[in-house]
Amino acid sequence: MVRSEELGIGYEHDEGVAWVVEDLDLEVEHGVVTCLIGESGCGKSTIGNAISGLLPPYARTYGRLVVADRVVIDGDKMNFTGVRGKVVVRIAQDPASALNPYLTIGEQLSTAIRTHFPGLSEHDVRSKALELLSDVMLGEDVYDRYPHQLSGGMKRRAAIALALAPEPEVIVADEPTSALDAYLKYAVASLLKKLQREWELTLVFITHDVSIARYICDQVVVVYAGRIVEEGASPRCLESPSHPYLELLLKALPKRFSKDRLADIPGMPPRPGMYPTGCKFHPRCPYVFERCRQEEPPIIKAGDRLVRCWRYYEQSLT
Amino acid sequence: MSSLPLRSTIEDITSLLTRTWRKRPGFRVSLIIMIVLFTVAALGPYIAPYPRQGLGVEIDVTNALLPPSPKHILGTDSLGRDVLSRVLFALGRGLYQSLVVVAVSLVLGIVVGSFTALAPRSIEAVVSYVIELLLALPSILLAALLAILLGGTATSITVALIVTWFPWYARVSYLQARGLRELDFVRIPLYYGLSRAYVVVKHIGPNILAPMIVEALSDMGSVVLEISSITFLFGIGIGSFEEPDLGMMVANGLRDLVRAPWVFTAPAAILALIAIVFTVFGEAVYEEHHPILRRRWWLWF
Ligand SMILES: Nc1ncnc2c1ncn2[C@@H]1O[C@H](COP(=O)(O)OP(=O)(O)OP(=O)(O)O)[C@@H](O)[C@H]1O
Ligand code: SF4
Ligand SMILES: [Mg+2]
Repeated sequence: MVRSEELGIGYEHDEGVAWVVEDLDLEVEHGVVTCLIGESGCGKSTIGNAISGLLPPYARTYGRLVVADRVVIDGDKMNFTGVRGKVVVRIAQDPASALNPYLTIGEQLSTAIRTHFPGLSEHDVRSKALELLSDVMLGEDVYDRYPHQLSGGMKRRAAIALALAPEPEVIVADEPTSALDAYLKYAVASLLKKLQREWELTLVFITHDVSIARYICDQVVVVYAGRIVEEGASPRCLESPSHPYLELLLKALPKRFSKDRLADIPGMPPRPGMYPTGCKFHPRCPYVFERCRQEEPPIIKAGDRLVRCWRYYEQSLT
Repeated sequence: MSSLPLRSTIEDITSLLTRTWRKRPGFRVSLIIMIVLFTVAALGPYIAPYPRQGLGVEIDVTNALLPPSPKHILGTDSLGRDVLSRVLFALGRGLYQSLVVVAVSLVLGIVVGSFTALAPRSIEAVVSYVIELLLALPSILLAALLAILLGGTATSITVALIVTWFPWYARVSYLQARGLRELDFVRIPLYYGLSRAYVVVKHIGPNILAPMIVEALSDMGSVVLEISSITFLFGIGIGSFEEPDLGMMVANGLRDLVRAPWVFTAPAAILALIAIVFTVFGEAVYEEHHPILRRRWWLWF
């Protein structure tokens, strides 16, 4: 459904282009929930925006991106007409972004429905809007309310309803659970999972929250410094990490019944344009050896997953 | 349906005004005086004792420069016209003119600013450059020049002031719209193929209208002053000498300042009152809306 081949994405600035994402090979099958996991600033939103066609005009690309059998990025050319907002939609990281504070939820839903299904009668538009609201488990009373009259969790649901209005095939949800309390996080995640099953959607779920990822995903993609460092077809790799980065990331999670101090990952994630040579993780990696500093490791198949780490190189040869 | 965004804008503005009313005594006083001024201005032509003299069509040189008396409460000017009647007519015209300037500039500014933010990059660059250029020109001189070129009538002053005034609103709207255009509720409908006009009316306009109205409210006083400065300095505001205008009356009264100070004092006092009251009103609203900019008037000294 979504396939990228050596995709690179960068942003133009005064002195050139800062490449944020490089050599991304991603494959997301139809009807699968894929989680993009990584620290803040590693390029998750950038990847999500590329898939949903929402990169700003000053973004630069190379490689290819195919969404729903349409080549949408080919080299430095982008063509999202007919795909963006129709086949693939994005739920923005910032919930304030999706909803116009000066229009009622009902009005915003109806406009979207009318645009995508011209010729529907006003009555049908309204009932479709109410249906969408009930799909995201909001009451009919929300139809006549303004965004500021909704709670944070309700706003997320309303934003999801709005994204679903064009009946898309792919949804990119950019941290849909951030800034929600623990209960609402799972409520929103399970709502997305339910919708994904019922509507047979392909869901790209972006998060830095490993526990949510475990809860919702089929496929895991761990991103570090704009690269895939570990990819597995099941949430199992979140139990037994291969890449040192994922290992440290999981150690940094609080565990139940554990009195140990939380570990943290030493150092800072690198900034785009200032990525180190060799393995991008080597300044922070506890297992670093000479080769890591010189050469960037390729993606290596290791058992049930793909890992970008020299430690798995020897065993992959045998 | 489409009245809904307007309704919440009105709610925003009224809640801002009531909040300011509750908290700021200066705002209360200035608002009351403003209401009185507007009422007097509206009734002016009907309560003026000598409406034909007020309009300027009737002169009576035998009565020139009479001091205040029961017959002419504020005296008469060098052409023998009742100063009170003149002031009453001039007040209405001045306030009406500044309302027109602010309202038209506001609408024009919002339209230009929002469309510029959504326009292709090259057009965006050109328009914002032109706006910067208009802002950089000294507005009184530009308005005076335009007014002369357009024939020196009251209408030409209004048009000239709009030309120099709307770039401010265009720039503020443009900056706000630029922030909004990054948001999904603006971008996505454009990708859907909805027209820019639709997006401006539905999504950008309502979101910038309330802050823009606040700007406009706090600008009214400056517009009255600017109109009067132009007519005072250049005297070209009005086609004939006869028409009532506060700035011109001050300028003409100045000539007889020693012999007949009342001719100068009455319009000057009204102008000062308008300037002070509108400024206090505008600053109160503005500060209440942007609490971070408290005490902006300190910068004046
Ligand atoms: N529109 C943009 N223009 C220029 N640089 C950008 C833009 N968007 C993102 N970046 C840069 O790209 C890098 C990756 O940003 P991105 O938003 O993709 O990170 P993220 O993984 O989504 O982080 P977070 O978890 O904080 O949302 C950041 O260093 C950021 O500075
Ligand atoms: S390649 Fe080397 S530095 Fe990079 S993650 Fe593997 S062991 Fe660590
Ligand atoms: Mg992000």
